[in-house]
Amino acid sequence: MNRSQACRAGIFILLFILLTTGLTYILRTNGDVKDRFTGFYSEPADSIDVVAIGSSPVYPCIATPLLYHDTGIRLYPLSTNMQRPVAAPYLMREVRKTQHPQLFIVEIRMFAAADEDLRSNMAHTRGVTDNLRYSLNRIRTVRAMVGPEDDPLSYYLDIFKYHSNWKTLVLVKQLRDVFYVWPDDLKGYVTQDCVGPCEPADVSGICESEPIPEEQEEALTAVFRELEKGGEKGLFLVLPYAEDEKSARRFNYIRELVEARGYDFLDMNRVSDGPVLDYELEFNDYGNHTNALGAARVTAWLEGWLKEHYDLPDHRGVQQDRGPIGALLWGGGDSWEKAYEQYAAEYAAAADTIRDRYERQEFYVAEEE
Amino acid sequence: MSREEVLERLQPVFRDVFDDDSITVTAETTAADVDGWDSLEHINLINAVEQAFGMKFDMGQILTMKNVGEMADIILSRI
Amino acid sequence: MLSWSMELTSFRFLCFFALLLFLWYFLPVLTGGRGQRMVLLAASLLYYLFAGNGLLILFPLTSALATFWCVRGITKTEKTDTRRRRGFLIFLMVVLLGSLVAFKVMGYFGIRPGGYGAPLGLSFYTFILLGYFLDVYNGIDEGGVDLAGTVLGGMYFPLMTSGPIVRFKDFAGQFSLRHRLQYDALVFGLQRMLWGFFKQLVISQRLGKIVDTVYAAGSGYTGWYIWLGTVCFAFQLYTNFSGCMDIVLGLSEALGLSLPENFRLPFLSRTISEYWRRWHITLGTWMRDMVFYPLLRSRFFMEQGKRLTARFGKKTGKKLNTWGAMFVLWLSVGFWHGGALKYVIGSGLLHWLYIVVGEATQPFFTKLLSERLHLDPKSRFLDALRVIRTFFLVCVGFVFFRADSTGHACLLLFRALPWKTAVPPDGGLFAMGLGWIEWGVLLISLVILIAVELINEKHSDGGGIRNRIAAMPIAIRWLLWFALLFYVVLLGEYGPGYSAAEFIYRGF
Repeated sequence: MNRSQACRAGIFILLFILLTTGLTYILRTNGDVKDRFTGFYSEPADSIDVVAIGSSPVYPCIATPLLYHDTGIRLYPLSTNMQRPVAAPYLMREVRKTQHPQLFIVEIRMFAAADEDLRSNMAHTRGVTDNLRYSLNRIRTVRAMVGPEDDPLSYYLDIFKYHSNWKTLVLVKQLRDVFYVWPDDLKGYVTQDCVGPCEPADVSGICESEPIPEEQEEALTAVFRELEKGGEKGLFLVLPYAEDEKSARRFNYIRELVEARGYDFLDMNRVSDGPVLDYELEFNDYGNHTNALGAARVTAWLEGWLKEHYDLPDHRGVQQDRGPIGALLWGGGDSWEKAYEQYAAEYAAAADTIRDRYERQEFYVAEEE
Repeated sequence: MSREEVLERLQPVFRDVFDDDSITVTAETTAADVDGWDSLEHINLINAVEQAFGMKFDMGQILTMKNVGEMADIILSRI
Repeated sequence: MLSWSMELTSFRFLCFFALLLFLWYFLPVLTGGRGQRMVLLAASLLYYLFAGNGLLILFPLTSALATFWCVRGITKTEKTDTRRRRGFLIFLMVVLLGSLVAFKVMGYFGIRPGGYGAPLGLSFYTFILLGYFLDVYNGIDEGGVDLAGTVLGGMYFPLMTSGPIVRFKDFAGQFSLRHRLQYDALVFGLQRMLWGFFKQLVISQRLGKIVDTVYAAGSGYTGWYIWLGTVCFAFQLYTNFSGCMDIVLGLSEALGLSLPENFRLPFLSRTISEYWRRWHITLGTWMRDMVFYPLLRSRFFMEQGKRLTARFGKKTGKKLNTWGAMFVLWLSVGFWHGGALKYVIGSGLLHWLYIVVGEATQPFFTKLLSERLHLDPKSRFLDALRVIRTFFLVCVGFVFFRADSTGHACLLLFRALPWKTAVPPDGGLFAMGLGWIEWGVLLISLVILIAVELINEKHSDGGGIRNRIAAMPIAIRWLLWFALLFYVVLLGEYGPGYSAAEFIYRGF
């Protein structure tokens, strides 16, 4: 084999790897999770102040465009449905590749659950692994999250799973994700417009603590280590929901560990002068997540808390530099403010829909799996 | 016995096996020259030749002989 | 017992092959050219151990050992010492065929001692080793392959899935040469493997869904639906088996080894006899050389031949005698495929019947065509009809092959009779396992398959279609190969949600 042949072979293989990578990114199933991550990767470097990781409450509860509009703080969520805590430190490392946030918010609802239960559906794992771009960190994440009995090959090379989506190759929405970089219109937030009334849970009296499962405590320790390494501040958060007693006890346990390390803990269901939610109107699904109305209220309250406890910058009025390609594809100006404009429009529509549904008693119906 | 004689004695055997009185065999005759001389008839032919000359071919020889001339040579070496 | 899936289309196998490729070419550089074949031997043994067979490796090892010993014994024995020669022959046949028959029978009755099935590649290595011995016994081969070479020849791992049934004479000698990396051979081999993946993962797996639906017990399909299912099975089996051959021959080519072809556009055969010269070619050749010819030359059949000639005249007598020998031949072929009656019939005796009837009625048809209808027997039109007829006959055999049992096959054939109106149970064509898009993919893929194979045959003297493509400018070549590569990546049926690729002939 001579030099020219070796070169050709090398280029062929390289081309194959690149094309397969791009193809994988295109074929990954679309949805708000994919948009959230491609959006994160599209944010200009060092432009984000706070990154919130954790599970499903984050993106319907914290209205990131609203937060920006009111305070100028840029908060980006990298949360996924039932996100397994073992993924947290890896996500933090992924964030640090392009961003240097001052603060990491860790939503801790899943820390109170057993990892075994979270593994029951592969979507909970894939929400993280199949939304990262290919890198060493991704390999480590898969290794940490997937065991040999779970068919790890289809995680490492997720094209094995997603190639059956080949029919979606005609969709522009898929094709534009070829580099896994495309801004999310609402900066990771998702407007929910269903309504499912519930009773407020009163767990303020719970003072005992109950240990969390071992593997989650290990994950928590790993998170602490990451924070120490990066020197960021850490806020361990429970967003408003129908909290039960067992979770409350486990959150107490976590609180002790967090505060012992000098990080911040906030359970919005039990803090004094916490947000006052309308439990009839402002929950999407009977107490599990807030809807758009609830999100606005939660964000309004959280703004104050963040301003009080942290010294976060105010970027309003600052033009972002997206680079020549970014400017060409996505336009210039303040993308966060534009996100707010869209948010405001969606909020108004959602508010009407929610009230309308409430009047007609058309409550939330869970999707069949 | 000479090769010529062997070929002469082979001719009626061929005509008999392939049921064709017009066949003439020379040392260069191959399966392509005779109608119906496929691998199946080849065995029947070999059987008939063995009968006629009172000798036996090797399996290896049967499969590798290229023309009637080779066949004659093998016959000569056996009788 | 370790058991990893080592299917030829699995990712794990590809990694194994990549490693082998590297060691195969790199080791001789270190050792100065010696011991290259040991890499292959080690790989074959490892493959055998890990492909789920564990202790069963003792069977092929014993067979290889026995073969080596008998071959050595034969070469040292005088040609005239028939008793001793016979002794070796009978001993080896008992050892080799004994285990083959035993496992076939046990398989038929569902007996699995210790939970083990048959050893991997049983039918194939048995015939390869026995063929080696018989070639030496018959004076075609001189023997002389050492023990390592004999084991390697019999257990070369790609052959263990579905053959081809190689002849030691052409095959084993290649191992004593040093193989240096040849870029063209490597690339052509990889291309051929890709083609095999295409046939296996894109076509065969998809067709399998239709076939499984039609042939499911109690499926209730009638009329032309059964023929559709059978034709799909014909192509499923073809792409499955020949795709496996493409992978086997391709990877061997990449290693610098040459193996015999096993297929040559079988569905274009004009007669059943021709079909068996184009389908599973190495089995046909083996059976002809090792079973059929010795039968015809055996004393029994020669005696019968004389008796029949005396009774019925020369022509008829000879024919009847041949048909008798053929009966034994086809019985063996059918039995080789499996102990069950459906295999003996579908891949064996039915074909015997076809040939016998064909030969018996030949004078009638020749007369009909030339005298009554004034058609040129050699015309292209008639050839086309012959191809269709042969394909139909072969498909009837496939009904037996694929059905659960002879009874099930007869039931299906009865249901498929022309005057029965086709009643699809529900949903029609697109409820048989493939939606309309999938049918589209399937049809396009079949068109590609047929086109490429025809072009390849047309250029077979010039090295086939791969050479043609290699002569094109680099941009077009790469476009074609990337197109095929991603066609397989996207449309192949693999990964979670698809059942593992199954080589239908692997069970043999």
